[in-house]
Amino acid sequence: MEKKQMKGWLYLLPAILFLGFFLVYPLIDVLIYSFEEGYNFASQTSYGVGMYNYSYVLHDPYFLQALKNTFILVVITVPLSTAAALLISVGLSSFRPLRSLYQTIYFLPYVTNTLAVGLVFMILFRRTPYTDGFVNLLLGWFGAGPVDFIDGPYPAKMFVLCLYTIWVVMPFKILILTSALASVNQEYYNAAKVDGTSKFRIFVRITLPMISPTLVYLIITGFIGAFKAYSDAVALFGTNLNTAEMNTIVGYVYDMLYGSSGGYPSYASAAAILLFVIVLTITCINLMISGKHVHYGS
Amino acid sequence: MKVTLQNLTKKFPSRGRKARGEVTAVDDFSFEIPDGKLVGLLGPSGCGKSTTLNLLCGLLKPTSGRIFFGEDDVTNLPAEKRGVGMVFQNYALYPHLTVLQNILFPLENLKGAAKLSKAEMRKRADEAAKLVQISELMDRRPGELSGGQQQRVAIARALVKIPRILLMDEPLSNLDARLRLQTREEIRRIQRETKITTVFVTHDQEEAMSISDIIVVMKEGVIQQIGKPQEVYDTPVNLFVAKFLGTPPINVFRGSVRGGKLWIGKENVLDVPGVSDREVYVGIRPEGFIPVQENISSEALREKSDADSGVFSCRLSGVEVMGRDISIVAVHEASESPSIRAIIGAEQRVDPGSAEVRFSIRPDKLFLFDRETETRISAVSL
Repeated sequence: MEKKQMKGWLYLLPAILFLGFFLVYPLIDVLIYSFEEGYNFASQTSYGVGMYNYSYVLHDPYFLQALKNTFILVVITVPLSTAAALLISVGLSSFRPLRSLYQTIYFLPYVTNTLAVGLVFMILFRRTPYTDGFVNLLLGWFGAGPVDFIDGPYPAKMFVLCLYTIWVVMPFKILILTSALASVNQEYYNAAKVDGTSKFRIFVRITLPMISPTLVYLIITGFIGAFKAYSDAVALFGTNLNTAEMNTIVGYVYDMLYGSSGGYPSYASAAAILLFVIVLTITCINLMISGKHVHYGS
Repeated sequence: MKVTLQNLTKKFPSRGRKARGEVTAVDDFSFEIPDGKLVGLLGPSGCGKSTTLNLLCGLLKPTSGRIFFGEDDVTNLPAEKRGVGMVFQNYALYPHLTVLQNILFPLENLKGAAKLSKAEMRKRADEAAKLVQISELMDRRPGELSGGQQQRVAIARALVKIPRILLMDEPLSNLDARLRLQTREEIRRIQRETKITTVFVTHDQEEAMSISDIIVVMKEGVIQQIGKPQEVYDTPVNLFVAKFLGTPPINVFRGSVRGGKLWIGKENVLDVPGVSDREVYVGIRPEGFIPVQENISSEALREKSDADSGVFSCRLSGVEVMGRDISIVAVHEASESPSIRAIIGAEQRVDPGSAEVRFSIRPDKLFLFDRETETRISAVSL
């Protein structure tokens, strides 16, 4: 018995070492940093232990701006991208000709570099001294005035960021949802059809419950992904996100560590822990709500 | 509800780029199912019986031909408007719904004048559940039920909307042997009680024979024979039907008719007056063999040989005692299969040690088929 247990631990060792070293240790370290007041990188010393870092972060207008941005991003992009992905995948699975072509097209953004996509968005939306950008050209045809989406008013910038995020996260969701839809046994649909079920009711009463585990997975990972957004904002608005009012929580953490005003690991840690708590809470709520409605098979 | 199929044909495009043309799954079907009967579509796999069922329920559209329910032409009606109940091979019970919700599902689809109140729906569902005896399982989910129980729920769901016709696709194939026997009685009972015209598909001839009012034997998309089970068994139209019905299967021999006498090998087995000289297949049902007792054989044989017919001898290879009857396994050089099998009553004695076994043949259990066309030849005496 002893020997068997030793063997078990031996097999677990590589995973434990890696996870401990790169996941558990940093997590604990960040937690400790976040409570050490006035930590100094060079001397590796601090004045004491307390809540000051949290208080500072929560009173920092840049953090509050980042928090607001992140929440808006999450609340808008997660439902919209999931709903749009569901719509497109249902369309794809009921549309036979050219299906694989469409699947490829919809999947292209997933394999495209974020910064390259950002560049394309810049070309579409940015105003320069020479041109108002492609989108403004379109807007002009409808009589709407040129809007500066990149350096202009806050709602315009938020709109572009949300659109960009949705566009980037959708391919993965479409891919997962089309395979989930394809895995629903055709016989259920046949049975429902013979029983005179309307298309809408088939979708609500059969399709949705059947793919609900996949949907929950996508929503939870969508929330987590959106809370951790950073590179999207950088791709559109550059690295100076605080001045652009477009920073996110992760962006704030980064700036606190390495940005031009950086060098404050304690504040960065406090912000990171705050993000962790938010994501954990939201995920728990998600799981609690979905637990009642999701069918995980028998 | 009477169901009429008129020249029904279904062709599928063949798969693959190289293969051209079409596969005919159902070829020019015409038959009528009388109201309130239980009809079994019987045939080996790939004979088009499931396609026929799907044409009836509207999941497939026929290439040509028409389908009538009573006087209504339903050929172009989509599945959801035909008002048929269907029990799928794997039951297709919605796994996320309870038994009650599953049974209610078809009722909740009703619209307009047919719409029912909650209480009425519940009443109908309870009645259907009672009919198939699953009243105590209403709150379970399909995953928590046994195969037989799931089968009953599927039947209840198909019956609850009081369908014009009930269709069942291999209803017993997912059940174990004991449950199969029980469930087929149950299907018979439910069909008798509801008097709904029912069509079911099976590849198991015993299943079809035991509960159908009418069986339809099919082969490669073509109807071979339609009739009452006993009629089809007793008067098969061709070799295929004769081979397909009956367990153990019929024994087939190569034989020939010469001058009104049937010869298998060197023996004159039977007189077949009126049959012209030709090469034939001889089918003999296992119960058509009567062993000739060796101790009385000298007398009987002389008589027989006077008549110069009626003896059929085989090399004995085994005797299987099964209690109710005895199965004799023997070998004959004219047989189409490596061994032949005869079933005789348990009271009769056969010496397992003897090298040869001699039979006389019951004429009503012997069929002649043309060697070329494989259709049955009727003789005056047969």
